[in-house]
Amino acid sequence: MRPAQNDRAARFEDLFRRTRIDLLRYLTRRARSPEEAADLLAETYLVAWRRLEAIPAGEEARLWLFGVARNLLKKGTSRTRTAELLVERLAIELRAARQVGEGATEDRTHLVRAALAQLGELDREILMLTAWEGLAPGQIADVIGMSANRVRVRLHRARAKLGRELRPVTPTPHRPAVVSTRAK
Amino acid sequence: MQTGDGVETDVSRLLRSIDPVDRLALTAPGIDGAMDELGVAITCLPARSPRRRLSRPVFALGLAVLVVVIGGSVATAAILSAHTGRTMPKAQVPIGGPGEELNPAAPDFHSVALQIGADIPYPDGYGKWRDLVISDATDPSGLVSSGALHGWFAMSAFCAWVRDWDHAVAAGDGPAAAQAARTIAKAPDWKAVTDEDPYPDPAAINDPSAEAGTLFGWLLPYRDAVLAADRARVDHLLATGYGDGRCSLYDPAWRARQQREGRP
Repeated sequence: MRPAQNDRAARFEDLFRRTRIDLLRYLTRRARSPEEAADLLAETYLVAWRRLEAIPAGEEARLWLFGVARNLLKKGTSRTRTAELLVERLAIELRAARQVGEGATEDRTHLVRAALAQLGELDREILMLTAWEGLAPGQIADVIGMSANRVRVRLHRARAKLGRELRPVTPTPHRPAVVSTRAK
Repeated sequence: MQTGDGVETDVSRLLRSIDPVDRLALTAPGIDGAMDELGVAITCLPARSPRRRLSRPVFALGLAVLVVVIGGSVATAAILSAHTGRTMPKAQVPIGGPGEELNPAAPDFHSVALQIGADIPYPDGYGKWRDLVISDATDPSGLVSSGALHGWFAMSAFCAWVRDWDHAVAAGDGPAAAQAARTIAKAPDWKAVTDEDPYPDPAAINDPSAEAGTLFGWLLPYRDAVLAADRARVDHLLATGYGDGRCSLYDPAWRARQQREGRP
């Protein structure tokens, strides 16, 4: 490998090490199966490898990867698998991890997931990026290609809507039950 | 009634409580090892994916290959004129562009190039942008098609008008902005564009993984943003290099900066 290629590989490796767990979490939360999560992880990093020079530095690199992963997720899984055997191996590991976690699934999880499913894709994604990835509106704006202000507005509305959907299970023990009026 | 803050707290807490990965050991050694191997495998893959239409540097490489294919017949033509009288072979058109094969080593190449680009308007003060197109195409070791050269002028001029519109809007120069917008609106119908790409189709914005758009598809999001008088959107497209960074590549000032900083 020539020096320039070595530098490139080293830069990719650094990016990969810094971001792979966050990206795996992101994909595992959204993919329909461990196979899809593993496949999309490989595809996302393949895009990153090919477009390494276009990836912003620092924290923004993670947001850039989330953006790529989100677009790949939206496209579905009909993609050519990269390094198929290795993807398969990662999928097996993820499936094993999932089996351990599945026992703890509660009714509430299903209810909240069902309520989330009532929201539009974008509102759902904004909520998940906030609650699960811990991103601020400005960071979410980078991931989904929208202004931070619009993200804030949508986040507020999405929370309110999900709150209404979840009213029966929202833990409000110290407050009387209130029938809310539907906002626009 | 529950306040907005209350809803926010409750909803966020609920969402966090059902986070599907909280219960998964994603840092387990097996997963770590699998990802290590995957990372190494990716760096062994080619860094460039094949694209239906190639960016300028790759295109230049394609032309170099073309020279090898065509052989030494250029040498004679070079003495006479940039016009070789040969039409691009059909099989080469998707890579090399349509029209006549031109010989950049010929002494009249500059004037022939100017004639080819004569129907492409540039805003006042952007003559250097046109010169840069010719200078880029003047590769004595290769051939260039008249269609590709015409297309490069169109791309370069389009970007020049976008920059001109941007500057005019920033300066509050309404008439200049309106003139730029009118030209930008017509650009997708320039012959240089329709000859190579009758149905421009853009790649998705903010989607680095998307398939590349058609050769001139990237013009459309810029055009739409200009016609919507949305300067922020235009600036975003420019800043993110939408269109494979062509609006930077054709900008002599940007290229000079790159050179000063020792970048290829």
